[in-house]
Amino acid sequence: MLLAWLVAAPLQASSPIAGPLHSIGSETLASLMLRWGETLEARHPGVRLQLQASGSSTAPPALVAGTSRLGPMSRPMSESERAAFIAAHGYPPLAVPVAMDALAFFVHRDNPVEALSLAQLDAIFSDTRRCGGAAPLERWDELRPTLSGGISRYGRNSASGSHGVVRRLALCGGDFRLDVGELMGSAAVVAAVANDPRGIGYAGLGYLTPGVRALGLVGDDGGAVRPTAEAALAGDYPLSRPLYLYLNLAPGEPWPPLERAFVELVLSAEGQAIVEELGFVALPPGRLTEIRRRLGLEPGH
Amino acid sequence: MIDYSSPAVRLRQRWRQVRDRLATLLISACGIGVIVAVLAIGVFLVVAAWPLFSSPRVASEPATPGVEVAYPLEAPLPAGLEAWRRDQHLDALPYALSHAQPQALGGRLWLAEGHRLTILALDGEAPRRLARLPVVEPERRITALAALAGGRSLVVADDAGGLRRWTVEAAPPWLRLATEYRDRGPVIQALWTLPESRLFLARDAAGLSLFESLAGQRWRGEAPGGEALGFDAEGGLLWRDAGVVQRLAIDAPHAEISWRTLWLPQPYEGHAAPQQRWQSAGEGSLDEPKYGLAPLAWGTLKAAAYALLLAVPLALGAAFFSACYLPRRLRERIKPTLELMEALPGVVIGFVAGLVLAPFVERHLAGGLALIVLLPLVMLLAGGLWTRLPAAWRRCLPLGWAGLWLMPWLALWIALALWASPWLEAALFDGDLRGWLEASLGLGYDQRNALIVGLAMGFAVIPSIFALAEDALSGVPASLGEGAQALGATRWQTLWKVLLPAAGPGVFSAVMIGAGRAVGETMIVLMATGNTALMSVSPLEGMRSFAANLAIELPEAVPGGTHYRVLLFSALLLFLFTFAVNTLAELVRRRLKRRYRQLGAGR
Repeated sequence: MLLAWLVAAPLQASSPIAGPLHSIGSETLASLMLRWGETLEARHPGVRLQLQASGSSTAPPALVAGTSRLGPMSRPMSESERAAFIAAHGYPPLAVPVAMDALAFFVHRDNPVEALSLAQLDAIFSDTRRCGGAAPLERWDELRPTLSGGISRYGRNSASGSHGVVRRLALCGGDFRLDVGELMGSAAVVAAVANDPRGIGYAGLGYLTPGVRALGLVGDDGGAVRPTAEAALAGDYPLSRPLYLYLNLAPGEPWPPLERAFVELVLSAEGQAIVEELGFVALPPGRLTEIRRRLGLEPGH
Repeated sequence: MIDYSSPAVRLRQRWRQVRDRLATLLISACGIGVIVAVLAIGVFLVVAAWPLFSSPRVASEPATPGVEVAYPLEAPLPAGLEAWRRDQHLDALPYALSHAQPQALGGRLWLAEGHRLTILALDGEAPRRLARLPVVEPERRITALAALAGGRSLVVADDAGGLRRWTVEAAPPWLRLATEYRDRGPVIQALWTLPESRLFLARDAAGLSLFESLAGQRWRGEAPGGEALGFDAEGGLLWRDAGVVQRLAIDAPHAEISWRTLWLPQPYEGHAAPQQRWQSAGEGSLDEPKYGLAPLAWGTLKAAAYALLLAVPLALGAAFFSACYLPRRLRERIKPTLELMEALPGVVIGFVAGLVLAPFVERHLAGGLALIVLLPLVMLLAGGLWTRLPAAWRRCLPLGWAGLWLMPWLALWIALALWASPWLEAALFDGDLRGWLEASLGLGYDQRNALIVGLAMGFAVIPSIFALAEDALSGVPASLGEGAQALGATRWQTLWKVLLPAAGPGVFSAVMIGAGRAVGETMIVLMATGNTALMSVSPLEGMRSFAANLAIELPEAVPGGTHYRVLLFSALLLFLFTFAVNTLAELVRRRLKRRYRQLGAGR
């Protein structure tokens, strides 16, 4: 026993968990990455997480060029992004689901509208109306006779994952109207809606503040689904998306200690507690065990 | 006596020379370095934007052995369709004669029949005919049909050589003519769409043409002899001629960019009329990228125009006042204070404008609009009252301090207007001015609009306009102004007839510098507007400027991609514009200085 410990101790010391860890990617995941990084730095003082968060589209080029080792993305990689990665490295990138994000449409807190259907949202935000709406919705009184005034629309810039998700899921892939404001950051969208009684905007559910209310979604059967963590996990709330961490790891290659420590932390109960704390939806324990097993991180594997 | 030949003195002399040479070298290196850096930025932008306008390269090369067709030229028909076609005796229709391959698009099947297209819905058990629409003139016949990637456009070629693109809709009228590439020409026998791009090849008897859905024909050349097989995984067209496989390499990464697609309205999919749009799609998306620069140029100029509308009168008025009316001691205090305003970071101004000023103006819209009309009137009124005051009162306030008389009036009226704002709105506009503007004037209201940008950015450019204009005015040789006053001219006459004509070019260059700063300003426009790429004159609607657009999209554009290069092209335009404006302003100022020297020398 003692001998084993004596042999093992220098072995552990030879691959210390230390050094810089570069992460380039999603703005949605920035707060999560920051908190995970801080926790890891507190645990291993030599670790430094260097975070650059300007949109999911920045993650694949950085992984391809090797300027980052972690690529947080709020959407799965597209085929062409995967192809570029494979062309550069010869193997596909490793995708680790780390949390769920539910997008919500927010209105001012004094706005009495409780829920809208996807077709109505399409008629508000799109000018191609591919989801089948006949006429654009321009004014709040077209939705609720007691309201008045034109609708002010707020959204994210075109490289953000949220923009893409709303475009794909709520606009049926159509075009946003030209008068949808494009703001930098989800918090800016929520702040703008909180300041505008006629505003409506989309952002991650985690950005909910007292100044705004999140709208439910009316399904085809007429029932409304509230944007909650449970609904997103159960798949009832359509505007939800998994968040990924992409890594550059060749198949069969042993995990570098730093990345391993980071991913283990993310998939641990502590890491998922941070997810909930920041307003995202944590993955259920069974799913986490399954992911860990798939990645070869499960003890005894 | 100093002994100049002593070693100590000679050493010192040598050291002096070396030091002088070193300093000269260093300083000229710095100067040249700055010029080179500015030029290098320009050259970099030109180099980065240049590939956008280079024509596509299409070249035939021997295919690598063993290369396979990844994308066949003709997609297989949906299962069950052959049987249905037999049952419906569609074989007897001219479709069989036209040789145009049916196309599956948007859950529907499009068949060419003579001069018409038949739409079949494929959602039921058997295909169901939805409509039959003429797409070419009745005497023509469709010769080729192709669906573009993205699934919203059909390209139709006919036997008179016409080539048209139709956009597909989910409901009647089903089709809308988007682009007529040409009406007559060589008859196109086959259309092949390139995989995962919006390019297509058209083959006629004379040769092969490469088209882009928006930009039109980008290349034309000879078709290789033999038979086309299909596209390989890299998008090259494989071709077999006498048993030898050739590969037609098509290198057209930026084919969608032309002067026309950048600056003119384009018939985008899903829109009834051609539109000016800036809507970049995410990388790797098959949606049409919409790179219309006109809305951005418009937004840049609109923001600058509204800022100057506020800043020019205020800054020039302040400069006139400071140069001609203020006592010297007061001027020496006020000038640096005003110039301190310039030190305020744009981010802070933008933040305050977007999150504090914009909601405030929205809440007090009626009062704010009333103020715009009333304030100049109040100033005139206060000025009139001043002349009616008893002379004894007037003497209490020296002329340089007369501005103080205006202050309480302004404060009073601003307070009054804000206090009366809800009442005004209720009395005149049924309590909803925004609704009234929309209903009766057709003016939309964005909370973050040109008015807010004008206020915030006007505030930011006032100091530079003021400083330069004041310098120009106070730089006029004192002999001129004094001479005029000695001849009995009033202050106003001195200013208007003597100082302003002398300093005019300097004042003009001050305004130009202000315009240059307003055009290049980023953070204020970014934060105080909604960055909506609209083309409207209305002060109550937002805009998107070149600089703000660069700040939003450049960090996320893939280097080397079309989006990235178009963004750098817009940066080049911005650079050239501010460069031209600043150079012009500088030239004017130089001439002015020379004139002042001559005037002073003539004394």
